[in-house]
Amino acid sequence: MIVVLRSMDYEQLKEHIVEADRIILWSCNDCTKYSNLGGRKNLESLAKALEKDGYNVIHQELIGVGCQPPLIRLRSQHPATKEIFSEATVLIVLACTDGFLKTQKVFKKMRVIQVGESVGLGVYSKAEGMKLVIPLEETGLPPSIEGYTLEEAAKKLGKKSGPLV
Amino acid sequence: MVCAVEAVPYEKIKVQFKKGERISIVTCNTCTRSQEAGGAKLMEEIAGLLVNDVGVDVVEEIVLTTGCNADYYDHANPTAEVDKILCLGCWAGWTVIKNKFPNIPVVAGVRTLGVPAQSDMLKVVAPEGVEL
Repeated sequence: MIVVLRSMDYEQLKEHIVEADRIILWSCNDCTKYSNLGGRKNLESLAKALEKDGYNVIHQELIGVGCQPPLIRLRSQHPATKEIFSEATVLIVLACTDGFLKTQKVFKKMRVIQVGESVGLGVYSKAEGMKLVIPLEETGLPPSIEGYTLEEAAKKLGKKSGPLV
Repeated sequence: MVCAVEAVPYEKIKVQFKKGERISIVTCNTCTRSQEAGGAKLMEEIAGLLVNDVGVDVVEEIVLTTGCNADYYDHANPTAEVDKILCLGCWAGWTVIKNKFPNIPVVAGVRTLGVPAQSDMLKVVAPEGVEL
């Protein structure tokens, strides 16, 4: 699984949007959910927070695996969602780096905001959550069989972990 | 979900085992299978070759839906009564086995190339002992 951290917090996210925007929240329901950044619950919490702050969230989209272009394209073209995607001005993406880039490529006509960032490969267990075991070379972190918790990894890499709100 | 992997050549795997060794084989049915470096079919082929060519005793074969979910491996109730384990999963899956059985040698039959980022490949750091 890909370990997904983030570089921005909620206040920084708001700097990328305005109240007139028609916002769609988009989340991968696989690695990003296991990294506790995305998934249904975190999408709903983010939508509530943005609406409370006066932003116009017009839709939430949960995609099973966010790094597969055919699945992303299907959402953009499906009769149930095609119209709402054509109306949106902003897509806030809760996914890994690959998922973000592939989503950005499909939705070329709107502003696509990256929240998540891949930092390596992880292992998930219900008891311990996601742990980073095989970091990307660019992080400078050594591999760890026991793994780094998301909080430890974020601290070591100067990033943030967990949900935006 | 998908990390990029490649199969380690069988000849390199074969020399890691000796006649009479009791071994277990664990494979992932997601990333490694989709890239033809793992999965049940390949596991069966390699098990057969190791039995015929080397003379190992394959006492257990495990297919995990995803090898990087430690709960799935625990649920499979893997035996500790083996001399070596062959992992046909990515290096994250390899750490799952190594974490559970630190004293059993775990042979990595799959090489992890990295994490895709559109057309780029973000390289990962290899843990000690996985490069054959």
